[in-house]
Amino acid sequence: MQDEPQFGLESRTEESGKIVLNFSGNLRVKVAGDRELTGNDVHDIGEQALEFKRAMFCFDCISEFKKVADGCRGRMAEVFLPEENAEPMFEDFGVDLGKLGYAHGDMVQVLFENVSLLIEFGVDSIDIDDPNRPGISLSKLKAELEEMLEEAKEATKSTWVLHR
Amino acid sequence: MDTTRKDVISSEGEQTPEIVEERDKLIQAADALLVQRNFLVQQLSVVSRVRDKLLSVYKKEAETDAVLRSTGFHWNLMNEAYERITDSLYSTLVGLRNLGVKEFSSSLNEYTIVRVEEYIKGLKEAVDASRK
Repeated sequence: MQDEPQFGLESRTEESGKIVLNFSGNLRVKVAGDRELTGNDVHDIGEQALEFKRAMFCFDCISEFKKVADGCRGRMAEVFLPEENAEPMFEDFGVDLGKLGYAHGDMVQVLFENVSLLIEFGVDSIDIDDPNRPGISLSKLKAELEEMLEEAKEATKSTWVLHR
Repeated sequence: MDTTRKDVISSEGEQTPEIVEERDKLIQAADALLVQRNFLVQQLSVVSRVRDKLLSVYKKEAETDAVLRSTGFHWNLMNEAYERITDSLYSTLVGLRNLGVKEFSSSLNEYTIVRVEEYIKGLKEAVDASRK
């Protein structure tokens, strides 16, 4: 991404027994208070937090696309029976549902790996300056992402059985 | 008031079998176009909002549209399709109006009543904009 402000530690404070790291680019990270953070740890946390902010942005965009596309596909399939009739219309209208599905799956995986790493670093929550997502709890988000990955696995499995 | 078909709520003028057949064909076409246009309007509204957000990060339209394509949305094709469908819907509704149809029910959003004249007026602006 271009012109994205580079992260840098702006302040380090404590709040309710947790270490609060404020990075440039409006990134606020809360780490478990019992962690002893070296300069390298803080650098790694900042780097991953910035990656998290980018991934969250992409994830939210793709999720929004998927929600609308799924809704429209359902409605179109109801009207243009049989369902197969509706599928080519999407392509004609410049929308590739297959690519959207893959992009969403990839984004869930990327975010899951990023969140897992941040949890390993002892990070409890992150504030990415998004009014729709104040103080994101990483354990809660990880559980939600795990569920999505399971659903995606199940979907792949049933397709495989269907086409075998 | 026409009651020969449940999807024609109100129609006036001559009702020969040929006119009724033509009218039914046009209603079917208009219904399909309404559903398709509704789909494109919804998609374009979300994609356009996200595109603006992406553009503020990537700065260049070409890069932004490449990112959109990687998630399955071809911005230019979507806009072309919107113009094409809007244009076809406009012509179809004008055809229905010429056959004397005032209102019909569309399968769009739980059988919406489409008031032909009002809809034509609403579409006129969109059609003019796309022809510029």
